[in-house]
Amino acid sequence: MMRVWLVGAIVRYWTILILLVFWQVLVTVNDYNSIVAPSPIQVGTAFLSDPEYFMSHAWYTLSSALGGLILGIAMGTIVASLSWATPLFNGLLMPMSLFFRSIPIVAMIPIIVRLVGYGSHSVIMITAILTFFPCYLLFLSGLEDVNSTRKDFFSSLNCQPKGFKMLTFFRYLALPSAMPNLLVSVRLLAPICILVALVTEFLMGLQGLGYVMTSARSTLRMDVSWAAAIISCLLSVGFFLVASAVEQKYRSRWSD
Amino acid sequence: MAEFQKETLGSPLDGSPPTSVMQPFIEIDGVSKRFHLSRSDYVDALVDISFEIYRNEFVALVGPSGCGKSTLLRMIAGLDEPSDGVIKVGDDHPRELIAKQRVGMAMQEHGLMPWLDAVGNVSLPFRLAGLPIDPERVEELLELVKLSKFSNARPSQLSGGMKQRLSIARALVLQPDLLILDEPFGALDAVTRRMMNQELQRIWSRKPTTTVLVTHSLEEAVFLSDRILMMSPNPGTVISEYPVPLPRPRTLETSREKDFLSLVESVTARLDEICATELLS
Amino acid sequence: MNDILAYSRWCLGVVILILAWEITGNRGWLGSTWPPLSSIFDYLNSRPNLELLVRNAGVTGVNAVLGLLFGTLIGALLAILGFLIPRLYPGLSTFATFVNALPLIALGPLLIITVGEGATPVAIATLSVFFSFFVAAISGINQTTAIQRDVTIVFGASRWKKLRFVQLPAAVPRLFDGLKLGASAAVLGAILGEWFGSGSGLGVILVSAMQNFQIELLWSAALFGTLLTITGFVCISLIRIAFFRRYL
Ligand SMILES: Nc1ncnc2c1ncn2[C@@H]1O[C@H](COP(=O)(O)OP(=O)(O)OP(=O)(O)O)[C@@H](O)[C@H]1O
Ligand SMILES: [Mg+2]
Repeated sequence: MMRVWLVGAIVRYWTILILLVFWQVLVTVNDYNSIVAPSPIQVGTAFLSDPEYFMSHAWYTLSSALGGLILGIAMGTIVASLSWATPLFNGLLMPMSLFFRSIPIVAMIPIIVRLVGYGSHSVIMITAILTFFPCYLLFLSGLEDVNSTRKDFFSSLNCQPKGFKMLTFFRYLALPSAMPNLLVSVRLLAPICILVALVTEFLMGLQGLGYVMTSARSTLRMDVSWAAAIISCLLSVGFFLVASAVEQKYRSRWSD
Repeated sequence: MAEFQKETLGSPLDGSPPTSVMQPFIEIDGVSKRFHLSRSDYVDALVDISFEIYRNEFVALVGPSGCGKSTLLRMIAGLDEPSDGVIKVGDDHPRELIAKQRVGMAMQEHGLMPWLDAVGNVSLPFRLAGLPIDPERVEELLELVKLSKFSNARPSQLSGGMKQRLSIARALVLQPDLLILDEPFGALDAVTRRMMNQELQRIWSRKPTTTVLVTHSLEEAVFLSDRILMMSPNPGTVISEYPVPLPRPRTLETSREKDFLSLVESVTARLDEICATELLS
Repeated sequence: MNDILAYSRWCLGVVILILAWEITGNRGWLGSTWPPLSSIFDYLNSRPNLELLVRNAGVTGVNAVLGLLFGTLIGALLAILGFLIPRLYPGLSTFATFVNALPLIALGPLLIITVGEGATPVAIATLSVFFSFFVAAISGINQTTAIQRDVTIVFGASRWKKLRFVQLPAAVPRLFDGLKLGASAAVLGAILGEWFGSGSGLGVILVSAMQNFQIELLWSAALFGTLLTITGFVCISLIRIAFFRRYL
């Protein structure tokens, strides 16, 4: 029983195991001291010596990333719905969102940091702004991409995506049809919003894991810096896995 | 072949549509449809089609693939406009009937909402029409298509045949004046299909409704309809017409009788002929 | 007719975007951080400024291209490995998901030590390209229809032959999609990598312009980053067209 489980785990996670071993071996063979490169054991010890410190910063990062994601998705879906309803608005907004989307997000962050100012609200604002555009585009395409047989069925009951029955069409067809895309955008944006939060913290240097990574590095506490980096990775991967699980669970409800 | 056709056209046998219902409900007059594929390119899907459909008559449209059956059906339902000619349903533009929510539709793709259960799907027409939902009527329809046990199942939990039955229940729930069926059983296997035909026949006989059915199965056309219109392609026109003088209710036994079989055979022969000339040209 | 309407809405959208930008900047509604578009072009109109940006964009461009190259190579090799030795596949796909979910900035401190400051931008670009290409390659390889696969099994083709003659050609469109995603990921990764102490590149300019309040420089650097991404898209689209002309 135990052996079966172990083999299964190795088959799934062998690459990550190899990375860990490789890291330990690298540090041992080169005989790095902990200021150059701490070993996995040193990093673990650094974390265990003050877990609360790391946890509070991790919570700060997670909550602002989550807050930003929720805000960005709320704005994205609302604006997408508005532009579904008004083609003029859609035409005006589309070039802008395509333009903002081809700007590399890490190039946007310094600009937005300057724009919204340094402060604890900035992380949320930036995450919200940067998750808004992908969500807007994805959700809008979901609203517009309605199965043609269903559309004909709605038309046969005098229910068109324009005119006085527009709201009924939206509520009973367009909106539910776009739900799978909403789930996809949550999954895609989950790791991105953590990245954006970390980068912002890294640049502003106020709080959060991104801040711990830089500040510990400047005081040569490499073990602390690496521990923060690894917690960030775990946070991001965990968040992604949760978002994927949510998508898996609910997708079949909204599509056939 | 041609003689048989003349004969059946000239003297409808007993059991053909009763004369009391012989008033035109749908009038199709010189209808053409042209699709523009690009700026210079176009296809004439339908050219100069005229015929009438009577109130409470069940008409089947058959013909080779691509002859414009679905196109014609969509125009009768008011989902599309002819390029030329006039279609009238009950002396009005077809869209008037849609505006009154008197059209029911079931297509080859069931088009059910995956996020609603069976009850939700069948009640949807009430919501779209802005009417209060009548749970008894919904229950009755589910009973009629034998899905009462599955009232809380989502479409993904139903078999192909059950989904088609559900979509027919949905089409009938508002008691439409015009029922539009575009290969509703096209995706089903032959055995299930015969069962479904029997069911549809039973349901329809309880409350005859003007129905236009598009199908590729000639047995299905003969079994269900009062009249068969055969279309030929390039350009799409109606080239022959067969009354189906078989008495109702029709059962699986009907589909083994001599009258039934010989009618199917002559319709099939005609269709083969059309396809053969199509291939030669 | 509808096309013309949609097209004119688009053009109107672009015009309004530019005008709104200009006016907002001119009036200073969004503070001094949002300069009018014209002042950015004024800034770029001076030769030394333009040279500075072009030089640094060049550095970032080289980093991105190298990252794209290595990332694609590693992604392709691992995808083929996973296909040839099915046992390895679950581990590889976990690894790819893991890399995708990693916040690349967290890798900065680790990479500085392992590959050195100079190579960090390329390393981060490589990692971010790797995921999108690996996923595209796997899904491309796996999408051959069941019939195509059965035919090769009937003919007794080896796994390698199957890959070479059936699956790889079928995967080509997906591979180009992966490359396209990879191009923007590469620029992003290179800029991010440059923050970690590398001496030049758009990333360095972005951070120093932010800290020193050089707003026009900040915007120009972002603009050049966007141009790099778009150049990448265009190049890959051209290669794609040439490829299909030549082989299909
Ligand atoms: N939206 C459209 N745009 C352009 N051409 C169309 C369109 N719809 C149908 N056509 C053309 O009209 C012709 C008739 O199509 P239609 O779908 O009505 O055929 P059909 O008789 O229903 O065929 P099938 O039995 O295969 O369903 C075809 O040549 C088709 O290419
Ligand atoms: Mg059709």
